[in-house]
Amino acid sequence: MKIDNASGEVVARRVLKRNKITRRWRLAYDRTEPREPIDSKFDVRRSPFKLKKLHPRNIGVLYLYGFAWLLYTMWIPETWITWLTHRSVINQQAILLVAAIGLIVPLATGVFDLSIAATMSAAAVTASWLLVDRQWSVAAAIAVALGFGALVGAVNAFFIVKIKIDSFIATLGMSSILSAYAVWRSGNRSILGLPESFLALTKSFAGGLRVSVVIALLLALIAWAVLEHTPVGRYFFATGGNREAARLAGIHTDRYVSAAMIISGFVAAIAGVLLASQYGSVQAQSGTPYLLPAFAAVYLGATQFKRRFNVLGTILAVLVLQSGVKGLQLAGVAVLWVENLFFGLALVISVGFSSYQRKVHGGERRWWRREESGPQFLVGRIMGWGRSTRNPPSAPDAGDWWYDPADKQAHHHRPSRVKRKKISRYLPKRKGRRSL
Amino acid sequence: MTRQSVPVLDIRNLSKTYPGQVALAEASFQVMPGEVHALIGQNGSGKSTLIKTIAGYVKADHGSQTFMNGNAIDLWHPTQQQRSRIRIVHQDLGLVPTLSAIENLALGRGFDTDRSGRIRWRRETRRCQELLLAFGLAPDVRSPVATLSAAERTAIAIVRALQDWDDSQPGLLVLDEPTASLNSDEVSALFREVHQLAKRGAGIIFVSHVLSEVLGLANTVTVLRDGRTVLRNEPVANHSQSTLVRAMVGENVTTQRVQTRRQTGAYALEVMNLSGAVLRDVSFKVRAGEVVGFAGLVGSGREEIGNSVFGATPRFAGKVLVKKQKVFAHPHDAIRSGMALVPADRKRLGLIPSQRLEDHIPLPHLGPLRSGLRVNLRRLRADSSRWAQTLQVEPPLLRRRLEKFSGGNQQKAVLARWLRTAPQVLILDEPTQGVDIGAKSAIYSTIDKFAAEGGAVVVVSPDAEELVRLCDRVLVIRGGMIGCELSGHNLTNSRIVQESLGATSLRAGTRVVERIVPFSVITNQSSPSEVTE
Repeated sequence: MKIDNASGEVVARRVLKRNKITRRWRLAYDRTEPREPIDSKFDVRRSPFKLKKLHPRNIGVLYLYGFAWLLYTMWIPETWITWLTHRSVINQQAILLVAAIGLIVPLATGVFDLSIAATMSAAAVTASWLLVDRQWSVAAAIAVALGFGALVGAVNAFFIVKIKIDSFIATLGMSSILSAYAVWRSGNRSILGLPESFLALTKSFAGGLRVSVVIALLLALIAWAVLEHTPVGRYFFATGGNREAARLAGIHTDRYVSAAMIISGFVAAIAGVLLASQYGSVQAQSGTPYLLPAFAAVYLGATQFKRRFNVLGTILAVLVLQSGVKGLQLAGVAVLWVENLFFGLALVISVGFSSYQRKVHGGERRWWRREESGPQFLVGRIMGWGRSTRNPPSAPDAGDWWYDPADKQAHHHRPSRVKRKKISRYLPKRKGRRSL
Repeated sequence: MTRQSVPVLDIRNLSKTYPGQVALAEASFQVMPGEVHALIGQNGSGKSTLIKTIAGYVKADHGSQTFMNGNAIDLWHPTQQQRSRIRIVHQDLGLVPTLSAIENLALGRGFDTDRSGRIRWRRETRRCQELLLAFGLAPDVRSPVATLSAAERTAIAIVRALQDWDDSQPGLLVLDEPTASLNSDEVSALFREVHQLAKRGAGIIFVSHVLSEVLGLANTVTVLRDGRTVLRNEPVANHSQSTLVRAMVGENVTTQRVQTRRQTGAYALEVMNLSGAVLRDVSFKVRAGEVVGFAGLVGSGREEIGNSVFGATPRFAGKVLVKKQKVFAHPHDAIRSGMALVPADRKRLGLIPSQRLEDHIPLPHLGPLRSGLRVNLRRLRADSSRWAQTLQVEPPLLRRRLEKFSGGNQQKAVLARWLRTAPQVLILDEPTQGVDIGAKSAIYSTIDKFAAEGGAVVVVSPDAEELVRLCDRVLVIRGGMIGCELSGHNLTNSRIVQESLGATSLRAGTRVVERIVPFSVITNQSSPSEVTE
């Protein structure tokens, strides 16, 4: 069949092949009949298919995860398909997830926080120094460490909001200062001998999972609820979208930027404490390896579900990144540099992919970018994904042969193929000439 | 004047159509060598489109013919030689603020280097200083341009345009409002330079809003109105300020005015002694149910007034009362006390382009949509859908990002957002900028309805017609102060333009323009104008 998305008719004919889907189309059209504000579910410009949600553009990371599973199952089946492996992935990702959640808030507000890794190290060093050298109680040490994180955030906020330094520079400087503090405080040695009660905070419980996983998920839940479902979350995103416009809409943008920095410092400190508790030994650089993965996860997460920073996407991204690295490590690929390479590639590719898609081309798109001729079309045909947002079919009306609202079972009768009649029939009859 | 010779630039039937509007319809005029040719017209008359076409930023429609020194020239693709014969000083000057004067001069032409590739700084500095001395200026040519005064920057831009000028063949110099930030001495220095250049055989196009300058400097004048050429190559000697204003505004323009509303309400907005970056001591009052307009030229302080009253930009002095309650100068406080601002720069200040329509409309006033701590999404959607319907945002897709809506529908969405907050005072800064005609009338009727229901409206607009259509009275701002008030039968298109232009030479209270060339006719146009209460 000729494939021509420009005319809705041909598409409709294609769709008509499947009764189920046809009914969905019709449902969608019926609901959009009065032109009034419509929710995306009933939006003709979007596909009415539920399957659209499974489109790789929406949840590409999940496909990546499936691909990783497929790859590693074939490559290293005996180590990959074990609970031990995935347990350790989940346990390791808990800390990364906490750090990433702390990072979502400032990024949503439109400021960078490059100091989260250094804050993690500094909080971990502070807590363990208080516990080991000063013999403080666990609760007090943790409280001071978390307060320290919030203080770091407040100082960052002061420099960004009051002194008006670019957040990138301010937090970069803060990061350096904090690592100096951590090296000084720890004497550049590993701090060992943390008390049992502190280590027990993150001990394993059900099936070898650690408590830190629960804490991470709890934080994720709070972050999700606040960012997606409260006015405050809306103000964060509005500030991040356009700070001056948000200010003119009556939002105290300075306060929200400050709050975002303090939250990220505080949450980074939580991640630092969990780090100290989970690994039992703390160094001045303990938190550093979490910086790039946290950014990678948040940016990768922003390409999922919605086109903005979101918690659910970040959780998925963390899971996928950690699994990918874990598999590579288990497969014995040069262990030293593979992790950095993987995170770097994932960050650049994911963000590049999403911003490339967002780009509006001046003229016609290249053939591989066009929905009707590119690879998406082939995949979409096989999977039955919905049509693109461009070239929406015109809404059917009663005259259309394939849609008649009076007929409840319109899709049952399809006009029999009309044979093309001989063209000569329509030509004027020749006269006179023959008599020659 | 050498009328017999070949024109430097001969434009015939130049049109430019943007989607939905004709910016320029068959403009044609000739610039002779040794002639200063003034190009005037109101905002939106097609002046800037014409200049952009000459500069090659905009491609003219098919069918236009342009000749330079008798040879056909394609302004969109000029040859290197032709390009070097057209020099343009744009209104914003086009200097790089972080570079020094020397570096700015060298941007197009390159540095003078010795054999090793080192820049000959000493020679460059001397050259730059000599060029600027012709203007009677001796700025520090090594410090960044941003630190210099406005006059020095203008001089640098003009010097840059004129450097390596070749007298062997007549060229064209376009000055787009060069005098906007100059004082009288600097203006006369500029005029002297321009005359010298004209004597050397160059054709000069001079764009200005200040009619006295036009009458003083130019030999011929071309007037544009709504994209059409009203006066073409007219000798300036035949004209006075009043005839030029009449040509710019048009005589038969009668905008449909809605019937005057009765202004019986109490004062909803009182502004006392407001001062800002340009504004000086501005006071006015607006009654409930009244629409008050603000007119004025670019740079007169008109742009500042909406933001300043709302508290978006800092107020240096003065206070603002809404319903007799003092309002602190922060948008949050202004919104709480019942003000709403639709800013002029929609893309940058009015909306968040990445936001969805359903998130955009309720943003300033989420309180009633809350249930407990969280936002009730169902109510949010219902509410924003109602407002989108009320203002006929097309297409009414709540999940669509604002950047994908057309300009008119974006503006409707912004208006919906602010009407939803049930304001006492609605401040509209250029409400129909970049808005198509259909959306324009919808916005007008919304404003009318809002005022009829007892809201106070302040409309700030560069478009005189719009003010006549919407307002009960119009305050004209000149040099940061309220120049006069127009209402009733005085409130006409031409009066607004006349009053805005009238005292532009008193811009910011600093400048009195002297007439350089004596042949212009001096007419006293300033009519006795009512003083603001």
